[in-house]
Amino acid sequence: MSDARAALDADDVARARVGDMAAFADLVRRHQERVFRFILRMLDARDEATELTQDVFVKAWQALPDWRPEASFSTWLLQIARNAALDQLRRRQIVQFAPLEDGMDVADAAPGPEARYASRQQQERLDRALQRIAAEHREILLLREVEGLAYGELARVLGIAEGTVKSRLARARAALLEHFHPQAGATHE
Amino acid sequence: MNRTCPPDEALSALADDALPAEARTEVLTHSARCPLCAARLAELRALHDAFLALPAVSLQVDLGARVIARLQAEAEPAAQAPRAPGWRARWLALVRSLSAQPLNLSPYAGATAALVMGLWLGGMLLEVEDPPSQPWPPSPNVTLAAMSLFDAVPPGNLCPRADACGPIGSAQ
Repeated sequence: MSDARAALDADDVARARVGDMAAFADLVRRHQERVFRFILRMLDARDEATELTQDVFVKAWQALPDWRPEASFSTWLLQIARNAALDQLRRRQIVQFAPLEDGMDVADAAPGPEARYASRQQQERLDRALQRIAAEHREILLLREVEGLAYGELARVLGIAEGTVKSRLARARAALLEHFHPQAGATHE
Repeated sequence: MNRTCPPDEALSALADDALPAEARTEVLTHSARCPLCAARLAELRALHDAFLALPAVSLQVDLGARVIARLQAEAEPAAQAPRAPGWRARWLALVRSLSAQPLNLSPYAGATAALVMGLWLGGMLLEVEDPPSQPWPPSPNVTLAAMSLFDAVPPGNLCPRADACGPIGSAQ
């Protein structure tokens, strides 16, 4: 995140902390897409993700006094979002690895006649494969690959050591590759 | 992969460009001559590309307005809470207001007077007929004065049986 954006966040947080709801609304608008995107891919349910994204910002409002400028506001929000998503998954009781359904072989490449079709199929296979790995693997992959968090930020959001980030990422990738075989170059067409 | 191959963790970190320079060179050199590691590295990089190609998802609503509305709605009941006291507080307030304004007691005083009157009259009905000639403790001949008003045998009538006209002997 750019320094200018971080400064803008810090300024809005300072105003929100003294009760300025308009400043908090600006923060929400600036970060809602990122939080929503992460939660949606964690839960794979749009309405649920929309509700939970709102909950995340309400929790953030309540926890604003705890925020420290040393931490990026965006990373802090993702931490709240991550906890909320895991809580939701626990409620659903599907945190643990869900085996593949019979007859559904997402690892099979199904190339279509056109490159765009193949690319779309690959995206769908990746989305499905993501839902088939453990939540702790899915979250770290989404935060790294989609949200682009650095190892230090991952450690902060997940509450683990940086060395653990490295090994967990490797295990998460290995788990995902068991269900998804990327076709190198397909996405560049 | 064989014993000389770097661990999967190192290949994963290389794909993230998160290896220190020396380790990075070492892994890259090994991968250049190890088809297994080269294939794994290509797979990890393709996985990264596949993530980048995921379609963008958008919320398409102004969550800022919704969240603020929700925060305000949650704040309102909390602000109104002192204006809605519980039953104990309401009861205490009522007692205080009654004791502070005795002249306003008229509706309650009427009800209280009616209750006292009822108890007094009821007490009269329950007065025990206890002739001074009878010994203590009273014998089973003791009856309620009120019951003598409703004697089973009208005055002047004969009792059908000796014990049917009450213990005092109203048939006498």
